[in-house]
Amino acid sequence: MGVADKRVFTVVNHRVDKIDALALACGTAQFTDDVDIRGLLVGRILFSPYAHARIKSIDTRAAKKVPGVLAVLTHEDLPRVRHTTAGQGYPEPSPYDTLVLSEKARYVGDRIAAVAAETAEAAEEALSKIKVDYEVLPAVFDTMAAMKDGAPVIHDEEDSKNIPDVQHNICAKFDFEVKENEWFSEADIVIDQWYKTQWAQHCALEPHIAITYFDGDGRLVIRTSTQVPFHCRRITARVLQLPLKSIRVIKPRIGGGFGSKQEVLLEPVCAALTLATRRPVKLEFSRKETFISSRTRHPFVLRLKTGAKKDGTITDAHMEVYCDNGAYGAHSLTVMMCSGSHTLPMYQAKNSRFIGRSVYTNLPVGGAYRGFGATQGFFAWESQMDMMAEGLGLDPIEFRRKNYIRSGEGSPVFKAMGEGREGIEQKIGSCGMDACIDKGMEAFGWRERKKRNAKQTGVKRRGLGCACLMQGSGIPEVDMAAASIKMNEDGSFNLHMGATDLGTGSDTVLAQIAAEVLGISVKDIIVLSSDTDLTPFDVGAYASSTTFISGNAVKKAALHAREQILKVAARILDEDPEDVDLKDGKAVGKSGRSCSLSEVANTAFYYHDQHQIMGVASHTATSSPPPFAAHFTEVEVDTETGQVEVLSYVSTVDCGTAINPTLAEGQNDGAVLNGLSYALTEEMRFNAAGAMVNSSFRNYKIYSAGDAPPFQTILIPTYEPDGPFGAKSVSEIGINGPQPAIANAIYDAVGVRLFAPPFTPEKVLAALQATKKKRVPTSGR
Amino acid sequence: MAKTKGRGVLKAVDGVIAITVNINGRDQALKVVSGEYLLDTLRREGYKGVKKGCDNGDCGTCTVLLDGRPVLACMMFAAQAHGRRVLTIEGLGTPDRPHPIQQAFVESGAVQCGFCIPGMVLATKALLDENPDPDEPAARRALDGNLCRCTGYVKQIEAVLLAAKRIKASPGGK
Amino acid sequence: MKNNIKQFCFPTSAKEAASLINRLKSKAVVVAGGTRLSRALLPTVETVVDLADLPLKHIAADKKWLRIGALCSVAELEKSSLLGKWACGVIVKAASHWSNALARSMGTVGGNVARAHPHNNLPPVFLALDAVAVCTDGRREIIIPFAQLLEPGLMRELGTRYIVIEVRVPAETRTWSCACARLVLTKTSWEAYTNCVVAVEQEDGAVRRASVVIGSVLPRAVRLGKAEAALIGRSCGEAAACAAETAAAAELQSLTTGAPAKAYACRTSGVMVRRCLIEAFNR
Repeated sequence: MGVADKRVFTVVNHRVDKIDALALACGTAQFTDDVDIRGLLVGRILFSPYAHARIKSIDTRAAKKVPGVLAVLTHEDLPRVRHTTAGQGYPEPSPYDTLVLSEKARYVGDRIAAVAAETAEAAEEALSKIKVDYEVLPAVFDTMAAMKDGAPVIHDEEDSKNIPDVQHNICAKFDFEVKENEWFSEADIVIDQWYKTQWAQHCALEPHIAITYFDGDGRLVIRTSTQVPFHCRRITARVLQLPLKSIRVIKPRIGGGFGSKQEVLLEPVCAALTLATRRPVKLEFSRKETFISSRTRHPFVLRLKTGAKKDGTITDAHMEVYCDNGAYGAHSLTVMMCSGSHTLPMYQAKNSRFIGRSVYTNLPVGGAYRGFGATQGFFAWESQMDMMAEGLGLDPIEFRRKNYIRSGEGSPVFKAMGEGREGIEQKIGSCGMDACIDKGMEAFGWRERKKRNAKQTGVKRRGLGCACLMQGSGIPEVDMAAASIKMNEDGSFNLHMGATDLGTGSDTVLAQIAAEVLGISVKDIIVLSSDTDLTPFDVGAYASSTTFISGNAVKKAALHAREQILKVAARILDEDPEDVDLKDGKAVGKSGRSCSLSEVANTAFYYHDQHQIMGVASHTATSSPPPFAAHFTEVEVDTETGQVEVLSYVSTVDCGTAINPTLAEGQNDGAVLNGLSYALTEEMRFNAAGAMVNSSFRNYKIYSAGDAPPFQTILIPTYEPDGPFGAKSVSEIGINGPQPAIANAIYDAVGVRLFAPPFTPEKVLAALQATKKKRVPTSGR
Repeated sequence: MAKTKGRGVLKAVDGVIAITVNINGRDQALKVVSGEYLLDTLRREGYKGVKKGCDNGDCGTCTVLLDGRPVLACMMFAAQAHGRRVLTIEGLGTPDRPHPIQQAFVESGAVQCGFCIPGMVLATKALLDENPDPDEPAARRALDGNLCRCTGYVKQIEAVLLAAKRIKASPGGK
Repeated sequence: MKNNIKQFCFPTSAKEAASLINRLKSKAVVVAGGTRLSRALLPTVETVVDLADLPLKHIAADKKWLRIGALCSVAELEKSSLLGKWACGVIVKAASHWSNALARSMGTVGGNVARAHPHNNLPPVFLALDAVAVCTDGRREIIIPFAQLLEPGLMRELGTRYIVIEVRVPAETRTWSCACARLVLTKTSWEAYTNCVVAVEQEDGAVRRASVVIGSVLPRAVRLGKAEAALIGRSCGEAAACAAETAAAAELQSLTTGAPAKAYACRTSGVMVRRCLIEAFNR
């Protein structure tokens, strides 16, 4: 077995310290705003106060006269280039419906004008002096109402592209069906249910921020908190009509993204201000601005009509989704499709139908958010699975076990539904779901808890819930990553890659992969990611792609370098290259003689066949191996107040080989906790005029350490043949579980099923009151 | 410079106030715009480990220790720190010589994006100075003002307990 | 940034601080913990009066009163062993329910009282314990019962005319049976659906005197007289607690004029009243 296929590791699958952790813990690691730039101007944006309004005129004269103000820009000052802010592979599958500064206000928070000034106060004053004459238009805030005849048309401009049905505010549509039998002809039970999920936000602790300036050679540098440096360069170049080569995007440390920073939001505005002033400009969102004007999790209205046979076989799955995209169509097709493409293959119904519509409304814009549609889809699916099991009189876990997709199996959905286009055929190469279920049930104590809950009295009732999940690992045949690795005289290596560590730890994980190939420690790898001038291309950090796709690119690049090292070492050791191995920072021959990597590098630099040892490689995948997960929870419902307390939460996840188990656990922990607060508390709320009313962390509460219930992550090792050293993705899947698992547990506790998260005490109590007469709470099912 | 009685009156001259603050053990004479918040002053003076996550007192990323107590630098005027001791993350340890708390955060895998970590480390410092032997709930409670979206707090709580153990075991238990 | 600020004063006595604000009137603002205030300054403010140096950090009891200095932080209340033994530790419990560690570290008793936001935790517990606030206007000290203090008119004068020196809780409350509960979306939510404190003086197994206080539902903490009346003279037990629940919910309904948005808070306030009473009776 060669190094590429090894299954016993020295660096990979080890709990290596995150390479940037110490600098971060000491406060020396530099985020976008952590550099001092002489002459830096402050950029600010004027946001629309109206949900829907035509701009009759904008008068910036008074604003321009404010002392210290150097630029005031509106849509009239910028090239009119319709684009999407979604940082996706080119050509993006989202409609081109956006201008950098808008010519019409389509939601409260739409960007109308931008200023750059010497001080924040001057910028603020300038904003207050921009006179915008708005003609307020009727607005629509309801997903279903927006599709009706006669609804206000939000994108009535002529120059937008790829909007399937302007008149009905439909910004993306996708239909798909495979059918083996007449619909529902084989089903013994049919359940038809609607679900509705809420608006939510990513809440990365570092708000969106960009700094732009001209370097000494007159090139535009964009230092920005982005998940997609290369897409950022491309989109910014296009919308500002600059040559791509004149732009350099630098990604420093990033304070979390979760999909929000897959959007190219601030960079074009900031760059336009630098172009206008020829000065460095910093543009950052305040927390409130992040809430009202960055991106959100698309709320969905979903319908699931499913059929199953008495023996527990799922026969039919009709899935209808209406994805509220808000005012612009970012990720409209892809998020909507992923709600089906990540869920429908899981349970393999012979008849499967997906009807998807993404809809414009006059509310903030949906975007990529960890889970990416699968979160909304699995809430419906995993709730429905429990309802079907109950209808059939089956154990909900055994019912799932009977139906989920297994290793070696494919699904017509894989081929039919890609992300924004046709997918690819694939068979599951690794599936640890059985172990996820078994180990999870055991660690959680499912059976014991069931027994304990069988007899309950009193006002607080306990219940159990579970959910099974899958996701993907990158977008096959779309996502591409590249890396280069260059050897230094001391036997260290520079690993340069476009892969974007946004706090996830991918720099460490990818360094571990390279170190494994090269037989060295991660301490001998100097990672640079990402800088569009210096690092090779990568689509960026999204779609759970980095470990799987960028990891494969890094592995190939390291193998490429390794080959060169072996040649030189063989010469030094006077052996055949195939007899030389790399370990412990040395090249070791069959004879047992060894030489240091430093000697190898110096030999290559100065003696024989002088050259730079350097590996470079690209990778694109022809599969998107799903990670699998099973979640188990126990809740206690206070039947007098409706409060739901999560008593315990165990999630197991099969991510193939965990390249770094500590970081993999951390990814899952974070995803699960985000999912828990999404299930129970998080919701963006709007007033009747469409303005968000809880745009602060005080009022939009994300869980603190004090709010987090006890929960546990368990990694279930499998080996994914297509992954680097057997790895597949881990970062997103965990967020999909809590909503359905808790909904199922609430039902188990008090017999009330909730279809519209978050499950706040008020909602739970109202549901309890509404069903009080219908059924007596039972438990221990 | 101990906090003394009678810090008197600070007057602005042309909108600028001269203050003296002990930052990380060193007395510093600073000129601040009169209404400037401590967070903005510290960042401008180069203490970039003090982060701005919400600028509204809700997230804890700007936590510093004021006379040993954790405070939100975004909720105080810089001038209020006049005559007082401020400890920022830079004063606790450096990558060359990390404080045991910083080391524990690294080893526990508590650092993901790291934006919240300086605040959490300082909140931990305040806790351990007062209670060298916290249990899990006490650790959780001490960090409950420092929001994190990456980790789920699991490994951060582990880090606090590990740091406590290390500090207790070290000579002098600093 | 607030550019209209011209000076910072650091008085070392409450009297000095009060004289300053009375002299400067709307041109001055006081800050103590400063967790909220400094972000919402009026444009007229030119002087910031920082109370941090006031020597008002005492927690002590004498024959008549339990005295809590206005500059004590909420965290300091939480840690006080004296308070831990007082009135079933209800002050400590209320303090520990407050928001998060940073808010508890910065926030002061004076600030929590003087800027009595509906969700602040301390006014309800002080109201339930018949506490008074000792204040000064720079010339003389005045003593204001909490019931009066929380009226909007007087409230506005705290920090503009009066400086709170200390909160005094009557000594006899030490043995009262008390309990408090906060119904929140999440544990560290700053806002609450309802915030309930009960304080009961028992005599021979019956209720001699009772305070039933609800915060968070109305703009200020209120004593629910009808719920209290439903308790007086009854034996300490579930029946009395249930009667108080019904009365409390109905009284709140009428005080919120039946606003549908408050229906949940009114109903659950009743539940909290009952639960707190049962807990207090069992002490």
